[in-house]
Amino acid sequence: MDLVRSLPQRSDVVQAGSSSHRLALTVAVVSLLAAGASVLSLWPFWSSNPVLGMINLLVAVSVVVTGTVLSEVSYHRTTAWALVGIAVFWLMSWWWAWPPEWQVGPLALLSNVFGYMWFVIGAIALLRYPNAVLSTRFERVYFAAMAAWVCLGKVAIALVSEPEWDDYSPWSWWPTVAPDRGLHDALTAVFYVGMVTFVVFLLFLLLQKLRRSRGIDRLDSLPVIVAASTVTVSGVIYLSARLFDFSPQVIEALRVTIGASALVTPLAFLMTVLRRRLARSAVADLVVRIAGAPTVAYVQEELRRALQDSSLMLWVWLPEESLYANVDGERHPGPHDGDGWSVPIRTSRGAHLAMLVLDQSLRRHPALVESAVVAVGLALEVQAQLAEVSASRMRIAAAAVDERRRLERDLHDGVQQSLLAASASLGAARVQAQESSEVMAAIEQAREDLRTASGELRQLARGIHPAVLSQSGLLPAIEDVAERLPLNVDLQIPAQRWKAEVETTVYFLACEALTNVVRHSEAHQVSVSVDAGHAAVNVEIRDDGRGGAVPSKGSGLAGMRDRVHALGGTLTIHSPAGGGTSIRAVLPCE
Amino acid sequence: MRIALADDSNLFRRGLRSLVMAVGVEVAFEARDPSALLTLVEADPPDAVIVDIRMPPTFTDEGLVVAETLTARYPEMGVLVLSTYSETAYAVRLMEGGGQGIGYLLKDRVDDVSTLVDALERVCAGRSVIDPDIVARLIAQHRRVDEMAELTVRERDVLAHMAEGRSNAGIGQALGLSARTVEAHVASVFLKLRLPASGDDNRRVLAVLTWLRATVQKT
Repeated sequence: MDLVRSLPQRSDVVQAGSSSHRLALTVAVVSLLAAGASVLSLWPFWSSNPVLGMINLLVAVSVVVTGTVLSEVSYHRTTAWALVGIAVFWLMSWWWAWPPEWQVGPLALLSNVFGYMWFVIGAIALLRYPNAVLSTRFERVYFAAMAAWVCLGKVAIALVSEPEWDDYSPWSWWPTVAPDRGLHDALTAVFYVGMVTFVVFLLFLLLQKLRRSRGIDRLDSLPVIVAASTVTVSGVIYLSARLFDFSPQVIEALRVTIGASALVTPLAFLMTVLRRRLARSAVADLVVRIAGAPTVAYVQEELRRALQDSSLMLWVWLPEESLYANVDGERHPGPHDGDGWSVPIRTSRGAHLAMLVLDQSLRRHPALVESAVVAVGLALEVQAQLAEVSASRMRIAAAAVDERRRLERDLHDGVQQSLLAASASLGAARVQAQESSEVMAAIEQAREDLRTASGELRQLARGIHPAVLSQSGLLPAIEDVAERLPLNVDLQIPAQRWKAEVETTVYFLACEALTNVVRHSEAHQVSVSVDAGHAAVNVEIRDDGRGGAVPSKGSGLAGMRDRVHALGGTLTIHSPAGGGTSIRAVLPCE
Repeated sequence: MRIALADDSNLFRRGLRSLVMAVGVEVAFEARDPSALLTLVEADPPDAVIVDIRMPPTFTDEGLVVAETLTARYPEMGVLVLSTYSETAYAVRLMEGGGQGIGYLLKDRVDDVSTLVDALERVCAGRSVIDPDIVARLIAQHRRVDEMAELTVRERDVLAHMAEGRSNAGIGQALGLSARTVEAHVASVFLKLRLPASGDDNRRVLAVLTWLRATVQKT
């Protein structure tokens, strides 16, 4: 079973408690830095179009803050840096609006060439979050192609243009070789068509990814993909508008739209982080929810819900069979290759309890799985202990019945036969003795004594275990008891036979209940009914007496309840004052 | 009378043998389990056998089974089943077998040889014997108290003796009544209890026992 691998270390887990203060401080510092950079980068907008300025400031700040929060999770550190990169390039792309005196040296050119890099990095971050779906090679090619298109395309356009053609200051440094307005416009058109193609392709890849993802991954990527799709769609519209030379007012409005939709993306990332924390608390809840789990099926159902994995299987290890059993009782030597991710579940002492087979996508959520495994281990361990306790109680109950039968047999075969032999000898002596002699009187006395002794012994033996019960079953045995009672007893008992401990418990329950009826109830009619239910025997003793029976501690009924419980059954007493008494027991008998 | 004894307790067999021999009953042979009994009976059938209900190998109802076998194979032979516990169900089961000359007696009766010999003679004569203890218990039951109240004291005595398996002549002898008087009482009991009239003693026993246990429902 080499499929079973140990869980990754806990370092992958977001450390909530002690580091939360440090995180808050980092977020504050990073936000201030991002806001400062935004104020400078978007300087002209604060007077010309403060709404656009504000939106873009918020985009930069929220992207950086999201990156900072994600950087706490080692698994997402790459995404975190990508987000910081997005913020930097996003702000750079707005430098064209700077006053000419700010566009010193190559700053305008850098803004022009790397302005769209935020999109390239964003595309890669989206495709990799929360897990990569593309092969690394394909990703590199896609990334390189996009980066080359964005940067080299812009450089190529710059070679045949003046800076003011792309809204930069005419005095900024520009690598113009042969300015040609027609060529510039043609290259720009080609550039935008290429960009639109990349964007549409990205949209296609994201939807593909969503379709393929499962469980927690799907929930994780859904908000981000939806937000990113909004950005890309508005991006396509913006690029098309640029391509077809829409009026500056329309372009301006579209810039606001892109900014607004871009603002949603970091929020979506944050939502995912928050949802993860909720998922962890769902697993924490699991411990409580399955602590008293009645069945393995219930545990499996709760696990599926907590881990968002509908294909999850819980295989319980059966040491005596050296096999695993699923919730339907199917046996299996062990999870197959390709079944999924097999995680062993052990007791607190390390004994093997079960195997959890999870969807492979859960490998990226080791902390969740680890918590779930601990919770299931606890639940199954408790369940196993309870099963052991109840099995041992049943064994004790069965042994007690055996012991009583043996005792009755010993009394019957030993003392009783000796007493009866003495009676017979005495009967023989009585034949020889003369009528009215003193010997005869002594014999008569001895005969009386022997009868009393034999009768008492018979009573005692019957109380220990009625022979007729093991010989002929419940009906004749309870019939015999009923015959000796001074009231009407209606019996509805099948001739069916059950396990000795079940029959004995039903018999003594009926005896105890009937004795109570005679002693306390003032009933005229009592019925004893036994019927074979599904894998259980149902017993009811009902009388029309005065009711009000309470099984006080140490009473016969309390003792009967213990005997019924020992067999895994239930006993209920319904005895309203003046309304008769009904004692019902259900005894499992598989 | 030649009889055979079957009981797994040596001590009890010895006491029983000395008891019956004291009144001149010959004990042809003894056995400690049913198969030995059947072999010996086949070789030399006695007039009657006394069998214990609990015998090897399982110590449950071997005595009942062998009694049924014997009455079926040897209709002339009397079979008396002895039991430590008086169980109505066993008595009824024996009567339901339909065989002639079969009896069910509590082992305690061995302290009174006349009761035992009386029972042996009755089963040898093809009659039934039910232990008075069972009959008394059934009659004392309250479930038939209203119908029983209609019977006179004498009729109740007659009913008890019928249940124990006595013939009309036997009842007359036990109660000191003429055959005609007994017949009149029996007819009255049958009429009052709405029992089907039957000349056959065994069927009469079964009918009376069934009537006494009537409210016990087998489902």
